Amino acid sequence: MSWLTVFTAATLSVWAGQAPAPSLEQQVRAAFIVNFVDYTTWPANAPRDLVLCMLIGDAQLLDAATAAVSSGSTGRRQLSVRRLTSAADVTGCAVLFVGKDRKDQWPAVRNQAGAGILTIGEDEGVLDQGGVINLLQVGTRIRFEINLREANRRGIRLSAKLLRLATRVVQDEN
Amino acid sequence: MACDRGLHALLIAAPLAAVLSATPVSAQSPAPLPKLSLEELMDIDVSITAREPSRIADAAAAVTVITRQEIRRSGATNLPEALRLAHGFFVGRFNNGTWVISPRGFNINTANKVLVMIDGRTVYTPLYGGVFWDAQLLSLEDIDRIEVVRGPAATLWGSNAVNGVINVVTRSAPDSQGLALSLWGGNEERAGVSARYGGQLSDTTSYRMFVRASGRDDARLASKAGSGDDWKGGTSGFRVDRTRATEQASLAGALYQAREGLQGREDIQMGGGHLQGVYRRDLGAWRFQTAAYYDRTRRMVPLQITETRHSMDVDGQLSRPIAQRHSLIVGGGYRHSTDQTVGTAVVAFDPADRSTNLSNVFGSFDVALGHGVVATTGLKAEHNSYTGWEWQPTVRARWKATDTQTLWAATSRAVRIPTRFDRDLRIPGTGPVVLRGDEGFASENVWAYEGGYRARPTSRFSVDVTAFRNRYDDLRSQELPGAPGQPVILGNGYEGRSAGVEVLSNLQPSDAVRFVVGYSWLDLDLEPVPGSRDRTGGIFEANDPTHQFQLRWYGDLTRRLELDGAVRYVSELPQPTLKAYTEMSVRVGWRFTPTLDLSILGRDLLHDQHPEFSSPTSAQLIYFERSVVIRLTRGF
Repeated sequence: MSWLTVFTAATLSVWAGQAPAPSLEQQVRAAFIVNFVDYTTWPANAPRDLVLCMLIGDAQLLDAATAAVSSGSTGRRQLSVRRLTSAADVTGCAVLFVGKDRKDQWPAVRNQAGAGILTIGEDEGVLDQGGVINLLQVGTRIRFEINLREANRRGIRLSAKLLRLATRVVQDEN
Repeated sequence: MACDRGLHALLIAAPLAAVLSATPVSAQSPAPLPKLSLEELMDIDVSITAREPSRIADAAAAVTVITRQEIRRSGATNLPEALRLAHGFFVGRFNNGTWVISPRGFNINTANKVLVMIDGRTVYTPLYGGVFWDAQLLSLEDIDRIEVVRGPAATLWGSNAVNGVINVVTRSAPDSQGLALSLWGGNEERAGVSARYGGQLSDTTSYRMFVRASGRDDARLASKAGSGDDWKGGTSGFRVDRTRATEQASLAGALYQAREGLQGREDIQMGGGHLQGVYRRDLGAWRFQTAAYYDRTRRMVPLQITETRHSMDVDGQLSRPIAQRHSLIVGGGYRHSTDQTVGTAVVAFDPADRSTNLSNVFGSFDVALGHGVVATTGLKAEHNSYTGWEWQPTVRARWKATDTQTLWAATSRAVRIPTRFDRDLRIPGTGPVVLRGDEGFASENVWAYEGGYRARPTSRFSVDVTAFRNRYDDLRSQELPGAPGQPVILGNGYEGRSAGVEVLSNLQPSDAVRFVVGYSWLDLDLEPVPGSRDRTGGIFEANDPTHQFQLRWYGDLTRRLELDGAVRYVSELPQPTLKAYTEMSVRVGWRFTPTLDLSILGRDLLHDQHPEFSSPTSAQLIYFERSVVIRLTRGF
């Protein structure tokens, strides 16, 4: 099979039709979110099985997260995905991801989501609004930053490795 | 590991099967990403708007990226000035419109061993293999980044990538929305304006339009008299992007026009434009991309030469860009370029008009060998109208020794294909010929051996060391005639050897200040091959400094006040001799708001005036003055 045939066939398939599927970027963002769970220790009274809550409009990112959860193991814990429509509904969430398209929800998240919830966002200023981890795009790669003060306030421990890989860590002054 | 391999096989098999049977890949659910570590995730290039996404990844090559912030804080007002940020490159102004820009040697005022692209559009001219830098007008303020490779990168990028590659990537329309304006002026950069407006046509479609115009005062002669080469030019263009979750299409175009003074002659006039379309598509873990462009340039140098050129290029590639695992990229392209020249009594091309074709296919495969070792093999087969098939292979390996350290090594071959200059030049344009090109002129080529070490022990300190040894064959020579009255003929009578070391370090003692230190050492020797009748000593092909040193700093004195600067040292140029020089620039910037700032740049502060390059083809040196640029920017 010559490369040219492969290439032509690929071109044809590309133009043939489409259904919205998660982009590579959405898959990578989802994989980050699921990965963070492995490097997080929740308070002792947290439930053993974790719920990843996604306050998000973007259906593809939600699909990507569902796929990432079902394809990869997350250490010793069971992880399931739940879609939220409002920040009022955070009972039972171990992780709360707030999508860029729902960033207006951050003030509500700050009020409603308290101890034991790992809050993750993807917008500038998330760390000042109650977010523990913020995903950001630097150049062509995805990076993340951490607010350690916020993590401590919520009784969540993040591993040293996570802190080392973060591009910026807001330290706890105490 | 066995489990991993199974996953890879599946990942490759699923899209391939779809591709081979020509069923739409998207009709099936996309192959999910395998379980990757955080480090691996951080290595994935996610930007679908990057034209060449996988090519610049954490490769076994001497790669650096100049960021948008670095360009802004350098105070650069044109592309060549911004390229002073490219580590290991020689950047020397020869006169007001001519820059000599190349890494790893062979600097002449028609330097021809670097492949230069703007958004993937090749901008070196098939006329002589170099770049008319005074005609590369673009919206500098909307550059996203400049990707820079030292050393051959021909397997992926194509011919002329003998000593390096420069790829300028501009921002997509969604990233450049709203109204932005920059105004500048000074004693040398007389006046400039850059304006852009970006808006949305629909949820998925954005556009931007831009206009940029500037004027530059002439340089000086040794006597401090003006050199008469003042320059002014402008460009205007647009870009439309349509982005959906898994696909992106863009259409961009621009027109430019500029003129430059010549002593005792009419102005040089240049103008042209281009139109480019790009389509990209995510296919699960795969990515497909195709692009096409048309480009027209015209340059009229009074009493010398007029060239009009039309180029048309189509290319495509299919890649699986996930780093650290088996990744691969295959593709191909075709370019047609046709020119019409009008010679004068001084110089001409024979034939006056010529059309050339350049087609290529390439493939590159990464294989993870375990223990953090990734090997890459690649080959580009390229066919050109002058010499037929050229083979440009590479074998590379990188070893991620620890989380913070990488070692790499590479061997590759690259060619510089003949140009109109090498084949068809005729001096003088009329009457008995004194110097001419030759129909038998072959491709210059290099075998390069490189290795490097990169370490980032802490987030505040990194170091990058590269060493290379190159062997060049069939370099251009000027063969003396066998009998009196015959012309000198361009031949392939030189071979060359070079060796060098390049060191780059980033040091960030606090969040408020960052230092970048770079040093490069180069030793280049040219020798005529046995039987060559060249007596020039190779001075028409290379005039390089042995040592170059650069220190840059970026200081945030307060949240609003920036104090940045750069010192560079360039050692003596040997033939014709130009003495070593040190220069410094300092920039003070005040940010009223995150998008409104005022800056003052003092450029070349250490001397009243200094020259940067000397050429045996020019009797007089051109000097560049100390200058000041004041700039007000809003919205960029």
